[in-house]
Amino acid sequence: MRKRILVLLKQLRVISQAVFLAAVVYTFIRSLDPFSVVQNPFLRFDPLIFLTNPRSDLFLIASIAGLIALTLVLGRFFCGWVCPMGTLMELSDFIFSFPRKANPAAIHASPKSFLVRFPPALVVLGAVVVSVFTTTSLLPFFHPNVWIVRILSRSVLGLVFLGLVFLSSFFGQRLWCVYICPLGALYGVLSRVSFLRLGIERCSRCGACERCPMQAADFRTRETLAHQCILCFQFERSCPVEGFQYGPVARAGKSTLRASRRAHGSFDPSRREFLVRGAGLLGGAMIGGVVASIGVLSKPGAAKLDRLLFSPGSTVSETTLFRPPGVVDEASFLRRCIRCLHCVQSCPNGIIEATGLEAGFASLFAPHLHFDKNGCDYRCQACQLVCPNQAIPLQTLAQKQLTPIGLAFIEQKKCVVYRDKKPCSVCQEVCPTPEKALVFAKEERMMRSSGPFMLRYPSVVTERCIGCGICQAACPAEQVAITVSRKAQWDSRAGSGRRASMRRATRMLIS
Amino acid sequence: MNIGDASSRQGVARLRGDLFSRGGERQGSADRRLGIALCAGCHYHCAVTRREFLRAAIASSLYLAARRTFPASLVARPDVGIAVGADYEKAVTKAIELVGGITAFVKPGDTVVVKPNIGWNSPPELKATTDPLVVRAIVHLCFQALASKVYVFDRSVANSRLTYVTSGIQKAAEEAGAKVFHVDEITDTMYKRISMPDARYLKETLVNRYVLESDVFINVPIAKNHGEAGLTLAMKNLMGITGDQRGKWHWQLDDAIADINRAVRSKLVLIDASSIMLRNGPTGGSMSYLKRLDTFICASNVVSADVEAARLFGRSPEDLPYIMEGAKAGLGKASGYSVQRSSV
Repeated sequence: MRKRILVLLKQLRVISQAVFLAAVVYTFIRSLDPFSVVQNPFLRFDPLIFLTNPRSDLFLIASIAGLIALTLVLGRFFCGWVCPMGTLMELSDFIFSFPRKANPAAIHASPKSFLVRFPPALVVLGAVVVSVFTTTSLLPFFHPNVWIVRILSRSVLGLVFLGLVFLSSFFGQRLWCVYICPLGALYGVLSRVSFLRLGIERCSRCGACERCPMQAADFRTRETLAHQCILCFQFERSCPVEGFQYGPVARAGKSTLRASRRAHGSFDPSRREFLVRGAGLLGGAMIGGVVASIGVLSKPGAAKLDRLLFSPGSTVSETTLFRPPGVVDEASFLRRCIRCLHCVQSCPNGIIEATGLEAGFASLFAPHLHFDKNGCDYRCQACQLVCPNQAIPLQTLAQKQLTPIGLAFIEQKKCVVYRDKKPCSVCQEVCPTPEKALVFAKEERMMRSSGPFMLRYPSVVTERCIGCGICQAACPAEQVAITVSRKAQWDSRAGSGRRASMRRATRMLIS
Repeated sequence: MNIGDASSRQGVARLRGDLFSRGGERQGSADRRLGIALCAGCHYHCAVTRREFLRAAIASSLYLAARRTFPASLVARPDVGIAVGADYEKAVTKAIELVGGITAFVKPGDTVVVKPNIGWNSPPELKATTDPLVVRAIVHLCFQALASKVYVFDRSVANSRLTYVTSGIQKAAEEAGAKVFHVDEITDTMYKRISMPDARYLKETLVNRYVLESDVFINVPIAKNHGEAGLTLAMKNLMGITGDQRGKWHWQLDDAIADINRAVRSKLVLIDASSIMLRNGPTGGSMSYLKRLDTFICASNVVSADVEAARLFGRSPEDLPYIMEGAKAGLGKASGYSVQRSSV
C-alpha cells in the first residue's frame, strides 16, 4: 500500500477515535442530568452486553448485527477505530510507553509469543459468555467500556484501574487489548474469517513491523494475526518496501499462506491453531461455569442456587437490599446489571450506591438504594432512563409509581407522636403518592402551654406504600421512627392478596 | 375653542393617570379618556400658553410631592386586592394594581426576591407549586418598575434540581430575566443566623441572606391543603427561606411559622389561588383534588392575604392558629381590613 494512503488511513482513524471518545465523554456528562434520555451507546450496542438481556428491540438487534457484519467484512476495526478503552490504552502508551525498536539480534530469536497467538482473552471470553446466563456474570469485571464509565465517574475502582492502565504501558502497548479484553477477543474470533485482511506481500525482514502495538504483524512467517490486527495503520508506513496490503482475503492471504508454508515446510498449522483456540474457549467456559457456581454458592446457599437456576422468573428473593425503582425480579436484575453505575451517577438524590461484598459476590458492585439522606423521588426516572441494558427496566411513569421498592413501617416507641404526644406529621406531609400511603389513624385534641392543638397519629396504608423512603429520610425524630424494609414487604405480600395482584399486574406490564 | 381652566385640569389628570396609576382604574377612566381627547385637540388647534404650562407644572409637582409624603391619604387603597381571570398574567397584574401597583412596592434600582413555592417535584398542572406564569408575570412587573435585580429561589423539600425544572418556574423566571439559583447548601454565604429572643419557638434561625439583603421581598405562594398546618399559604411559604432543619419545626409549627414571619416581613404578597388543592396536600398528585378558581389574592401583609385565601377553602382564620398568631404579633389585620375585587 502506498505511504500516502496509509497516512490518510491513520489520520482518519485518529479522527474516528477522537469522535467516539468525545461521544462517550458527552454521554457521560449528559447522564449526570436527571432529565437526560441519553444512554451510553458503547454499553447499549454491544454484543456481549446484549447477551445478558436479549430483547426484541429491532433497532438494537439491527445495530449489533451491523457491527458484527462490519467486523466480518473489515476485521477487528472496532478496537482500533471505535473503542474508547482502545483509545485510552493508546493515549497511555503514547505518554508512558517506548515503542519497540527493531532489534536485529532479537529478530530471529523471538517467534511470536504463544500468548499472542492464543491470548488469554479467549479464556476470558469463554468464561464471560457462560457466566452471563447466571446471576454472577463476569462481564462487569471484564467489559472495557464499563471500566471507561467507572474511570469517568472517578470512582476509586475506576481510578485504580486507570493507574493499572498507565502502569501497563511501561511493559508494553495495548496489553489489555492483546491479552485480556473479551470484547476484543470476540471481534478477533470474528475477524479470523473476515473478508478483508491486512497481509504482508513483500518483506525485507527489517523488523519495522515489530512496532505493531497489537503484536499482530509477524515478518518471520510473513503473516498478520487477523484476530489481533486492529487496522491501526500506525506503523505500516515505515515498511521500507511498502509490503502491507489490505484487501480481500484471497489476495492478502495467498502470500501469507505461501509464507507460512515456506516457514513450516509442508506442515499446515491452521488445524492445530483451530484446536488450541477451541480449547481456549472451552476451558474459559468451564472456568466461567465454576466461577459462576462459586459466586452463586458463596453466600446464599444451595436453596438460592436452586431458585435462581430453576425459577429465574421468580419475584421471590430474600435480598434485603433496595433495588432501583422498577426492579421486581432480583435474579434477572443481577443477570442484566453490568455494574456500569451510570444509575449511581444519574440519581439526583444520590441515594443509589454500589454494593460491596456484604451481600455476596452476586451483588458485588450492583446498585442498591439507601434512604438515610433522601428518598426515591416519585416522578424521577433518571436511573431507568440512563440504564443502558434495561437492568433497571424503563417503565412508564405510571408504572414506576406503582412498583414498590419496599414497605414503610412506623416504630411507635420511636415516633414523637406516639411516644411524646408531640404534633408531627412530616411523614404524612412528604408522602408522595396521590392518595397518601400515610394517613392519620386517629386524631386527638390536646392542650399545651402555647394553646390547643390536634395530635394526629400517623399510620401506613400497606396497599398504597411503594417504599420510596422519602418518609424515612424526612423523619425528624432523633432515632428515625419510620423505616422502609424489604422484609416487611415480603411479609405483607404473603398476607395481602391485593398487593400480590398489583405486583402481578406490574410484572405483566413490564415483561 | 375654549382652552381655559378645564383643559389644564384635564392635562394634570392625564399626567396623573399615566404616570402614577398604571391603568388608573381608581382615577375614573371616563374622566381620563375625556382628558386625553381634549388634550389631543389642544395639540392640533392651539398652543399651550405659559400660564397654562406653569399651572400644570405646579399642580403636578404638588401632587407628586403629596403622593410621596402621604401615599395613603390621597388615594384610599384596599388592604387586599382580589383579581379573578383565566389569563393569569393579566389577573396577577390586576391584583397588584388593586393594592397600589408594583411601583408602590418596587422602586427603581431595587433588588427584589420573589419567593414562589417550588417545594415539590410536581408539574404546573398539579398545582403543588406556584404557577410559572404567575412567577413570570411578577418578574416582568418588577423589571417594568425598574428593579435592578430579581432573584427567584426556594429551598425545596424535594430535590431542587428536579423541582425547579418540573415546576416550570426556572424556565419561566429566567425567560423573564430573573436570576434563579439553588439554595440547598447550608453555607455561611447563603444563610445568616438571626436571633429572636422574644420568639415563641424560633429563638434562633438561619435565614437566607438574599432575602435579608434585598430591598423588596415578594411572597408568591400557592394555596393548598397541608397536613399539619391545615393550609399552606403565604405565612407557611416562608419555610422556604430558612436554612434550618424544618422537620422539627412541625412539633410546634404554628409558632414557628408566626416567628419566621416576624423575622422577615413580606413587602408584597401574591397568593396563587388559580386552582386550590383541597386535600392530600401539600404534595397533591391528582387533578381531582383541585378546584379551579382563577383567583389571585394580593396584599401588603401576610395575615390579611392568608385570611382571604383561607376563606376560599371555607376555613376561618380561627381554624388556623398561625394566622391568629401572626395577627397578634402585629403582622397584619385578620379582620376589619378592606377588600377590593375585580375580574379581568
